[in-house]
Amino acid sequence: MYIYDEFDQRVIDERVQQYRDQTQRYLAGEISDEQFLPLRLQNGLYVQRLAPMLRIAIPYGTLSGRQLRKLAAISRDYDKGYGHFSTRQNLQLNWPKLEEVPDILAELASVQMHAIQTSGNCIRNVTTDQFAGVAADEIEDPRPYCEIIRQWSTFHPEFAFLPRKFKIAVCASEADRAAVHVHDIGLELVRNTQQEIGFRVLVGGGLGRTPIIASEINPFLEQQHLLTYLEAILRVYNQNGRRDNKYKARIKILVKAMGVDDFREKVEQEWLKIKDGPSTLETSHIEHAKSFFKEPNYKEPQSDAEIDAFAAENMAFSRWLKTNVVASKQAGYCAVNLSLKTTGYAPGDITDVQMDGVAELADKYSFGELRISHQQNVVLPYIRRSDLITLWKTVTDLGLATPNINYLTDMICCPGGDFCALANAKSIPIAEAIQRKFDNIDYVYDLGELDLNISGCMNACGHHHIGNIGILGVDKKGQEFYQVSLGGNQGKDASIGKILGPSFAQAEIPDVINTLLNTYVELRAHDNETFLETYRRVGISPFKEKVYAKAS
Amino acid sequence: MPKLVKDGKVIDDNYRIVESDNALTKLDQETLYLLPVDLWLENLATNTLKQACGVWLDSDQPPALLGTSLQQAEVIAINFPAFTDGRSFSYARELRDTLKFSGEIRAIGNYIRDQMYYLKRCGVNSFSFNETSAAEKALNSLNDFSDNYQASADQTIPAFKRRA
Repeated sequence: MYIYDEFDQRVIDERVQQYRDQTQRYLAGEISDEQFLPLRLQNGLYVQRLAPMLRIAIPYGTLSGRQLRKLAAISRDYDKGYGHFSTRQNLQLNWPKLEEVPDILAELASVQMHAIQTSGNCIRNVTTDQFAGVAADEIEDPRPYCEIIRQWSTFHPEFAFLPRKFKIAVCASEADRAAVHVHDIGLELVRNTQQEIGFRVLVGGGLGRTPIIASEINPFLEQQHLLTYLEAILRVYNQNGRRDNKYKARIKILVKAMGVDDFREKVEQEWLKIKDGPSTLETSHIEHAKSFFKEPNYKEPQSDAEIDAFAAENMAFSRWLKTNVVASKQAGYCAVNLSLKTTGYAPGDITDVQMDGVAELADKYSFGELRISHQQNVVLPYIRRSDLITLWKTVTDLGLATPNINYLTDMICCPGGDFCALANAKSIPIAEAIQRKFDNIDYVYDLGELDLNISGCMNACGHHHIGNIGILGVDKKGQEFYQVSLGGNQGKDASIGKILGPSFAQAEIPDVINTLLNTYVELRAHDNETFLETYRRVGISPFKEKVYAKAS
Repeated sequence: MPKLVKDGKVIDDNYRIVESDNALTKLDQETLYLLPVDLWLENLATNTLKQACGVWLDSDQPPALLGTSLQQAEVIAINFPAFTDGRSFSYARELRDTLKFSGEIRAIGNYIRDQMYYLKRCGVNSFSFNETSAAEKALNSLNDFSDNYQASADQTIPAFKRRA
């Protein structure tokens, strides 16, 4: 992973100093609330329903054991002993004190971490596939490019007061595990006819109030032009994005209003002014970035006989092996998902004890590295298969071995009304109610792979639009209700879910989900047809009928 | 007395900003004015004011509006009706990088002290203030960082070219 040199370290140390000074001036009354807002947001600090919230950056979801240990310590010393992984591969602390945030940032800086630009109207954390570097369907590791973009976007002086937030995601594999089609800019690594690798550039995707799938503006951008082209897009957005209405200020609105072709034309015009200019990348620069993401010192593969034998006699291990362990492109190795979706715990939450435990596992078994997925789980990317049994035992002790990855109970769920000032409704109790209702794991497996995503409001931090089943908290006359949508999907054939019908009270939701799933089981062409496939074949009507028939 | 932070020092501001709904005939022949775009262009055509005035752009007025006339300005000011309106950052860059403007680019209006470092990086070299003490305190913010990752108007070699 990327290791800071003196230059990088000085940059974040100076940032801590800058923010410390800003905090002092704010507390002394020299900066107004309004003026302090972007300053603290661009250091990750929200003021939330119950307490401030600090969003710590985990660049493209890669973390070292050492860094995770520091996060555990910070959660103990400055918070309530836990953190929450967001859908953009960041960690959120729910209880920091505003005046202590400079100290927290200083602690983070000591392990090459920060909270830079994790909020505010600027370029946010670049996200990517949690299996980068090990995915079998990968063209090449996307993370060197993510790091290049990270540096370019960090303290970019021209783009810190954009009309609205700006999110970039990168995908380098056949399957898109980074939701690039619903980002402001999505970059897909692709090969041209000469087998050269470049970027397919997508713009104007997003969720929230107006969910839209991104449009392609460039089918193949050569690598050296990456930064100048991004700069051209941002420049067009900065100057032309709407600033009169917060809910119409994202680039997706601009692209839609101008039309893709006109937007592309405008970007190309801007780009011509800077193309081949100072920010053009040379091979040496890309190679330098790549040098930080080399393969670890893999050992020779060993026989799976022991694993197979243990799986045959231990049901829990066998299930976990099937659902949470993913093949790596490296023979004898695999990637292991650690599920943060356990009944009774908020999805995506992790305690300090678990963080320390995972850090130790990463150091011992995964060459010191771990990843965070946008689905709010942790991944140990470089696990030798012959270590799986001992690993599983420790993971089980840590409470991170729920064998549910990509199944119903592996829900994406935002913090919601329990924590977030923006929320219309609570989301965590919904997730728990569903987990409790569907506590028969065999039934959950029988339902097949299923994305159920829950958001507490239209801001869609829980990605409900792209859930096969989406649940959205709404405020109906001061009461919490929930709207259900069907047929959303992330990935390359992304789709936005369709609203089922009128919303439901909290208590009704588990039964509604039950009815939907029963309907699916009845209608599926065969056992292996997924919920999404069935939905796309039969449409929404059968589901709608069954769900609302009960009510009438 | 209005002040300027210019090239890292606090000095007197000798310019007066002229609002957009105005007329050249109402202005005198001595005061150094920062004219709104329409009056600036009109003045160049009619030569009404003999003194060397400057021009100011509002946040919805990109430099292209000045056409070739911009090279005749000693000062181009970019206005911030609200500090959250970040369009002027791009205008400053366009003036320096694309249009090769070498005169003074001044930030006026409601920008905040903590934007000065970024504005400087975008090519702004003077900042207007209402009074001295605010200007003097703000000087510190110009040096918030000793170096930067990306190329901008003030540093055309990005860090990735200067390392390894």
